[in-house]
Amino acid sequence: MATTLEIPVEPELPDQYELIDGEVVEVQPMGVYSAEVANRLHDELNYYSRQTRLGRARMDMIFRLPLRQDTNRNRKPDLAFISFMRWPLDRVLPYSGNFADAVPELMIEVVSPTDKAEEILDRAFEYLHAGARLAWIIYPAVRTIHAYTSRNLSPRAFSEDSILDAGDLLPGFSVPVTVLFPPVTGIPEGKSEE
Amino acid sequence: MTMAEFLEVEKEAEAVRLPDLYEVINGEIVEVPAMSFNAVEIANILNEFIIQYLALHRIGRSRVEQMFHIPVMDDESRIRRPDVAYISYERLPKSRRIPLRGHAIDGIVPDIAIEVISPNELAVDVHVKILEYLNANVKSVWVIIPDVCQVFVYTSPTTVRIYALTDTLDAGEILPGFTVPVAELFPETDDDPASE
Repeated sequence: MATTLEIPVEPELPDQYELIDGEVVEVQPMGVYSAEVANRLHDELNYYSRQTRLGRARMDMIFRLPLRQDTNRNRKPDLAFISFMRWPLDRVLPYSGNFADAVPELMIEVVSPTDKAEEILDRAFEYLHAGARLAWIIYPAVRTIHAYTSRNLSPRAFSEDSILDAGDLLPGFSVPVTVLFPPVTGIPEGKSEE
Repeated sequence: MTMAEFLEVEKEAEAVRLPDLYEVINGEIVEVPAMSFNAVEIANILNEFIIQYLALHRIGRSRVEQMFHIPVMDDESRIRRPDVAYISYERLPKSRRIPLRGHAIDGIVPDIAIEVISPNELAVDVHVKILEYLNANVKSVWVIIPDVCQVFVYTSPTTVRIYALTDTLDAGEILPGFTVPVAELFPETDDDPASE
């Protein structure tokens, strides 16, 4: 009597995911416009990193952001800057590990067309709560960047005419906001379509 | 259908149904998605506070879900429906006759436009609207975010102030002396997802 050989199927992790309260939650990749904005900012932060050697800018990297109620929370900010103090360049990395075990000082979200207003804010506040010093929310549709240092403090807002800076966190970092946003078409008219 | 088509049909006194809540974008009637019960509750609570203030300081009116002409560069006839709006008597005199028909009064823009965010609302929609209001000469745009119990007050695209749970919300010179503790705006919610 032949017996069937069961080949164990390893559950595959989605390409892009976070770990929330023990659950793997798939996250959507950024669309082309959001990704371009994130990339341009990444370029600027990389240039800054090379000049100042304070840390590194990383896109699409998963970080462990321990919270009291969820010590293994893994989040994937669209873009992050983490100092060499928090994550030394020569720290040994686990070959099969999924996340960087450090909390970036600067964590950045580029709002995508389908992101919910409340969720984006929740996320930024979570980053700060877990130890980020600065959370940026970039709204590509209105070419505005909000910079939060704390949940209850009013954010600094940068618009197209402004020069973006990161205050004391990245001394000397400065980018005219306008260079981050390419021309765009098809911005929705401010009504949610169900 | 477009607003123009609707008005044509309306003239013929046919029973044409408009959605309960709508705005007019680029000439089209666009249904506004329903707000969550909690969001409606918050809008009404805030409206009550403003009305109480206006009873003592008779300088304008506070209205829930009223439509206003919010002109935008590519859409001169845009009509928006802020969740709560304050319109001073300076902008809309008390004695001004209200047209019997029509959805918004041409050229009347509220002093304060207030939006209460519902869970499904997209960030892009909220922020496009904030800019629209400000560019149309709304003096102050309040965005109430129940999830984090905060009120964001925009007086320009780059001037935004957070009023958090322990703060007291005010309207500056627009409603002199008006205050409400932010905590009073947010009813206790039961967090059970099954109740959504």
